[in-house]
Amino acid sequence: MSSDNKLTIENVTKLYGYGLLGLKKFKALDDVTMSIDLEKPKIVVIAGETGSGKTTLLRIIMGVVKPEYGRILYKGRNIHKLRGSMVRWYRREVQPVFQDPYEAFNPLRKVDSYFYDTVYNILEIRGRDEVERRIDETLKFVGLSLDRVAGKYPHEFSGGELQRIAIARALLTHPKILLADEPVSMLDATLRASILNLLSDLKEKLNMVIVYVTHDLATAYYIGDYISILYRGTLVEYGSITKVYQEPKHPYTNALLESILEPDPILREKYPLIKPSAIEIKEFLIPGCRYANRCPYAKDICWHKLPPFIEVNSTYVRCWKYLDYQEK
Amino acid sequence: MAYVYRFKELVLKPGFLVPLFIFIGLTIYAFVYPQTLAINPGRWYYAPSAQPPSSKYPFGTTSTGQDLFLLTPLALRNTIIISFVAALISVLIAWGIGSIAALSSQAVRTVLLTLTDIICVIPGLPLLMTIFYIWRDSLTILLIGVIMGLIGWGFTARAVYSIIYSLRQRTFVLTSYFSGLAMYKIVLKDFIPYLLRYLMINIVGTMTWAIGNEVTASIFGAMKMEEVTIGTTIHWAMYYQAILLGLWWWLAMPIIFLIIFVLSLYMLMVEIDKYVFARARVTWG
Amino acid sequence: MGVKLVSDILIVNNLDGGYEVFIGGKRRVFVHAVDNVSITLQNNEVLGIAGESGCGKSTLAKMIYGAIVPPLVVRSGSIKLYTKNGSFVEMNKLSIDEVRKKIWWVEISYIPQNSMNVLNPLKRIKDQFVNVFKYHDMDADKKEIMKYLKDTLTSLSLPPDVVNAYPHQLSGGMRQRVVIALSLLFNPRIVIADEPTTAVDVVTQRVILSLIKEWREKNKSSLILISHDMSVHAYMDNRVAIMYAGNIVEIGEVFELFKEPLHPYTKALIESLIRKGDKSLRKGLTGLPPDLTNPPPGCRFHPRCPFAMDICRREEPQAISLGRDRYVKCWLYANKR
Repeated sequence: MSSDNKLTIENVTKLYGYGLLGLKKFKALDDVTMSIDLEKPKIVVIAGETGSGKTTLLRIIMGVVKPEYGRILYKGRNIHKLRGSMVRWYRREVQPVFQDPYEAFNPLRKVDSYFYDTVYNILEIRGRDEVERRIDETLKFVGLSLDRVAGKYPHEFSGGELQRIAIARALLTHPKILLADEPVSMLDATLRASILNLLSDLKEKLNMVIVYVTHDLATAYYIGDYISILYRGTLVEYGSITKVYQEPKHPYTNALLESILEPDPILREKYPLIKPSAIEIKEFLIPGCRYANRCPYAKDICWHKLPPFIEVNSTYVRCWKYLDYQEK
Repeated sequence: MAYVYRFKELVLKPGFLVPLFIFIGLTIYAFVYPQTLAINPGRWYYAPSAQPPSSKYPFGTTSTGQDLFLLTPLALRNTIIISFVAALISVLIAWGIGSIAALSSQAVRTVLLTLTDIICVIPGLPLLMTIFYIWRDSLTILLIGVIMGLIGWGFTARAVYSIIYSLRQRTFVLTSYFSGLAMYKIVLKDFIPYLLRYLMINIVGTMTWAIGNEVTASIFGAMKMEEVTIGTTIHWAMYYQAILLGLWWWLAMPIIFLIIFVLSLYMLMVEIDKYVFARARVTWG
Repeated sequence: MGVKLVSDILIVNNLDGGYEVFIGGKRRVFVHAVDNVSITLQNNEVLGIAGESGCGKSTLAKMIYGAIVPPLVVRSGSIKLYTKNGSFVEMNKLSIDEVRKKIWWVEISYIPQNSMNVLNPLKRIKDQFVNVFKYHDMDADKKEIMKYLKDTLTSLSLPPDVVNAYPHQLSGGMRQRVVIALSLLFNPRIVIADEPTTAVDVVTQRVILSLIKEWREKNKSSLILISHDMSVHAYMDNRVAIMYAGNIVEIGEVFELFKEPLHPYTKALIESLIRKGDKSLRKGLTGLPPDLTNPPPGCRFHPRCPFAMDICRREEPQAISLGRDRYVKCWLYANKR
């Protein structure tokens, strides 16, 4: 059991400029630290509202965005310092699936051109038959085949089919990690279940780790094994999904879980009316815990200092409430 | 689910075929026909002057004794050459600078964009007129086109920069990246189809701009008047009071042919553009 | 359907239409997005229209709203509106300019899915509001408008300096709230919200829905809520209509419909919903919605329906009434009148 078989996110901080010349900086991600063990297949959910930094984090893991501080270690290697053939190695190990399948493909290119590119460039397989066999095999994983896909443009497919094609393209290299950015949010309710079931199956069949970014906590629970909650760029809670849902530790997790609407009208009475928070960018600038403004338990220290990661019942929480517990 | 616009449909459409034939016809008329002539139509007094259109002289003749039926194609040819050369030079410079600016680092980008902005701000027509007037003796048709191209690339460069820059942000670039393509391959495979459309529009637009400048400069006399272009023909027509004398054909013929040429070119480009971009339009929601 | 009760304020009768599309300037197809739809809206109720994307619900909304401009055409049917001062207007007979002036903002308001579609990106928020006032010939003093504006925005928990901002400076959630404020300016009796929460995250969704609920309780207006998200319907609706491939296949009171869906499509929809804390396997629907340019004969759902009978393939079912406000378009219930 290699101790290096992990994806480690270490103290990742990303700054963005705002204001007139982009000179003022705010932290889109602040000191995010997480470790995912790659030994067994699992689905790790990264959840948060819009603006929580989850997409930025995903882009950093993809390697297309560089953090100002911190690093990402994949199997012991800093991914932003890879050179030459190692860059290709990382692209083989990690593949993305995006939210909007129609945006993920160039509308002027045939969809199968992406498949051929991947097989030629990343897998370096030549020989027509071998290439086509591999593509057809992967498409069969998602319930399609090369005949159905060949020679067609993205707009000739429905949303559900195109997302399956996008997933198939990502699976071509048999990646260890699949980075999924809200893969079902643009699909209809009836399609979601089948795509989510597909992802679950593939995780087992291909022994993959899926990093699933979403704001929809219902589907997150349906498919996820672990969950980490981001709020305004800070990681506030991380643990097994059943534990977090049943016993949310961070006040924000609690609030988030309570705002999920159930598809059952009988339960509608139990939802109180919510008053929105207006001061959004100002929350990014709080040096301490970003949730201090809205938190019913906020103490003075919460505003000034970010709490460390504290382990409570094998869930990691960043909240000053749990100071008496063992610090991690 | 959606409809694919096939190539065969494009080439059989009257909306495409009509401008195509007009364009080809005019090009042959302008380029091939004058080669077959024994005399240089630009010379003066080889035909009876100021004749209205008749069976012998279908387009009439000018006060300076030129047969308009022979003169117009030559004029059109020279104007086309000038504008095409201008468009070519302008496109080469603008696209080179625009794409480098969009694909490189902050420092390089700032330098190139500042240069572009300077070119944009320089007033084109007065500068052209000054140059043409001062150097009228050493001007040739090709040189006129080149000078125009060197002055007019500013706005195109800006536009190309913003197209490529925004294309860079699109999600499908990431998909191509994760399909193992290097940046230059992404430009070739993903960007070129979009750029091609703008290129066509660009060429037509610059040609029209160049034609406009050439005609204007010529009318003002800031041009090598010995050359026969649409602009110089109009200049001479006005100089010799064609309207007052009732010689409408002297002005009408060059202008009509110019308009037909530009229109046919434009309509061709519109049809081709519709074809290329039918795939990018996902309709009905 | 179509029986006029005292409390009906909007009656849609046998509305049929769609989009005429030209491909490459030559080929012409007709997307039959709305197929013989009849529906009524009562006073002080929330009517939900649910369905997948491409089922025609947005098209139906556009028709009700009166935005009938090419390529959208209405082939037959009528939309009748009972205005605030008691008069009776046939919406589809009005010209687009009349609709703009007399109906929009005042009688019916429309909250679009993408808030940026409503806001002029080149104008500050306060100018946009002032423009709406001016357009409706309401010459209010500018100071009054500003004060009214600031009050409305505060009630939506937006900071008062939002009035001076440009739309792109606000976040998506804030923009959506501004658009809601704009659409409620003249207290319309009917508000059509087209996927108001689809583009926002779950917390903002709660906020927006809470706002709409609060406003409705205060003003007793009616709301047509269009969404593909059944949780939103469960939370907000009084009655809900399920739309599939241009037809309304089932309408009913929301509690009844969720507890006992009748139409096979509704059944599949309710069964595929993922509930909180439930990891049991959900079943989706196989197959795809039909191509609306060439819909299947008979009932449009029959290719995917597990209960399809012979008659389903031949004839379109009529709307069958199964009690107060409960209608189904399905041959399975033809004998259960």
